[in-house]
Amino acid sequence: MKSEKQTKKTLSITLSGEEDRVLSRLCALKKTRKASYFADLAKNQVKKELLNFAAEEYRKGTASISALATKTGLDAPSIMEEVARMTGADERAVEGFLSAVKAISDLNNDPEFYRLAVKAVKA
Amino acid sequence: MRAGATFDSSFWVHSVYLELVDYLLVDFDLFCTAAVEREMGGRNPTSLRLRSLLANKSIQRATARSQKIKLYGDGERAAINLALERELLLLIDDWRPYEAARSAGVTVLNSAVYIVGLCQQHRIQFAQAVEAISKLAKRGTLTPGWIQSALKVIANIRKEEANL
Repeated sequence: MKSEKQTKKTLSITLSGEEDRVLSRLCALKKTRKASYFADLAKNQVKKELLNFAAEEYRKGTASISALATKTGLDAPSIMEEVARMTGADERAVEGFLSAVKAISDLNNDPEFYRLAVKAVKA
Repeated sequence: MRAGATFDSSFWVHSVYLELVDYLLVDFDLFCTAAVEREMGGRNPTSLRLRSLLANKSIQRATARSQKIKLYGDGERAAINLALERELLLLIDDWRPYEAARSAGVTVLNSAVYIVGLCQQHRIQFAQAVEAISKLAKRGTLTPGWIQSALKVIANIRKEEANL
């Protein structure tokens, strides 16, 4: 696989005196240059926001994983993990699944089916 | 003779997560497009598994020569076009491109239905099938309608087998 060319871009940022003092203190404590600090901060924050954007769009049903990977430049597994993380925090996904199993289980008079699903969800 | 199949990123991620890859390798001659390989990224377990299978030729690399379908996602577009051109089965877990592919005449399969098939063939146990479907439900990366349909079919398989 070809390695990506490492190109550099320069951005100018204007800080107030107070903002510069705060940043200088932090960079002195972290033993880093201001430019490196901003570059790291931007890289991490942008990736986080892109992931959040992609996962939200997917959950809204507006785009597919592949389309979002193309749009954001993120890889598909990262987007799917973020969707899973968001869904995991949403109890409605599990409730929806178990209510569907309960309905089928009652219909078929098969309580074991529901028991297995509850066990699977807790695993 | 095994059927030829290609897949999109969503299906591959689920297959690795649900440990379906070994079954897929038994059932199909798998072909992977460069766009899907690219969408997997570099250093995650899903990508590493794909790259290792591509390296040992368990999965073949392939590219469609024509672009009949023009969807936005590179991977889904490449997989659908390859399936169309070579008449391959398309393994895909994203419902929009799934429907687009189906409308274009491609035979499609999602992971929920594949799990149901494995259960029906007694290659996985009923409890394993329920566990796999529950994992998909918890992740929220498969449309709930497919999950409910898979549950109904698994329940019916179990019912019919109990009556035998």
